[in-house]
Amino acid sequence: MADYSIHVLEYARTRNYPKAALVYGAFEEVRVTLPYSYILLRGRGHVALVDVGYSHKDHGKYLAEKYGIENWRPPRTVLSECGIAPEDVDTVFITHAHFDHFGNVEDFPNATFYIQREEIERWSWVLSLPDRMRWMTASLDPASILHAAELSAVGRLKWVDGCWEDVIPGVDLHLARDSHTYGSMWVAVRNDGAKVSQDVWVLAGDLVVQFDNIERDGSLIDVETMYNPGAQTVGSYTNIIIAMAAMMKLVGHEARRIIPVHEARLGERFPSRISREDLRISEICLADGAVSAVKS
Amino acid sequence: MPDASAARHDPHPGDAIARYLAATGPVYGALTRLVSQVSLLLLLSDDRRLSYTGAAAARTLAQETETALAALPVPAAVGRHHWMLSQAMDRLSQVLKRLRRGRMDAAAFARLIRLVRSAHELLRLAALPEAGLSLADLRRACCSCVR
Repeated sequence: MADYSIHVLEYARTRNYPKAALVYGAFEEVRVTLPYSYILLRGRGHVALVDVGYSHKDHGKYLAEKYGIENWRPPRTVLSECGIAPEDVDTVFITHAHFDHFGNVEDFPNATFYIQREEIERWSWVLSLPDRMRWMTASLDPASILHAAELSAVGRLKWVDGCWEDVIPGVDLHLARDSHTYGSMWVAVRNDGAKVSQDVWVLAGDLVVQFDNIERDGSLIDVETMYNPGAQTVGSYTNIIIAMAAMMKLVGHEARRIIPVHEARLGERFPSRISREDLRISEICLADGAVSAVKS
Repeated sequence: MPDASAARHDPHPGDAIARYLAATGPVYGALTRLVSQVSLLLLLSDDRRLSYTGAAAARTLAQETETALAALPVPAAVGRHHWMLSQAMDRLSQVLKRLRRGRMDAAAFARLIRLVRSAHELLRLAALPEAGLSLADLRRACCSCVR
């Protein structure tokens, strides 16, 4: 029995990205393609997204020209591959406030957004610090907090304080304080609906950006695999590893159940297809009775 | 942005504009930070459970930014650009002043949101990323690794 269908939807990508920025210490390794994605979750009467991508309107041209982000497509185009329109989305879980995860709020007019209170509070504190400390605000779009205020004004912003069980049926939210960001959140889907579930999927946000973060070759220390956090964090690598351990415990140490959204190799592990817009759709699992979005 | 007819009267318009842009960078950066801080104060006024002691910091930043904006060397060719920044500053100052007066009804709150949104729009229109005037500072963001 599975309650939810889960799809990872690529909405843009950049090439030639240094692996060392994704896996701390991988200084000698090749450059890779980095997809930008959000995750669609459908079931139990809900259409939910984990993160919303960034708005091409505000920064897209600049990003494309300066940083080589290519093939950006709007949510209407990306979601249509699964037969969904942005207006259908009723719930959005924001894993953290970086521009590529929380930058496109306006495209989802009917959704209620969930974000960790600490994420917004601490970013705002950072913004009040002197210019010398500006490094701490990297990847933050000031519009994100404006969006949060706008959502709050119309009752569409829900603060999350730490963990929240059954925010929608079978879906739990978890806080990883002072990790990738100040209040990063990860999402656990108990897909059999059981309290002690045998079918958990973890949607990790940027706490796990690639398979290698959780399944790094551990032969150097005589273990099969080891945890190896990404290199980009304003918090603590220790806290990221502790969050990874919590995720792994929840999925019974079955690493494939932890889904990274910046992983270009999802298609090697899950059924997937490339859309007409040259973007990958990966089908993590299907709800009972649901039709595949990747197989004809 | 640069007004062509005005530029014709400046013997070295390129130099003047370059000086203006160099001096404007920190002011533009402060304005973008103010958008975030003022937005947070709005959130605070809507949800008292949020803990934030940044109101004084936001007011100080606003005063400093207003002073710096007024002191910018503004050649005629970029008068419109400077005007947009000044308008954004004015809107953010209006919101800060209103917030100091305390609680407000939904209509007043919505008006303040519109003012911040309008300031943000002005900054978006005045953005010149190639000159370092960008709403989000992504130079140290993940995507900057591809350069």
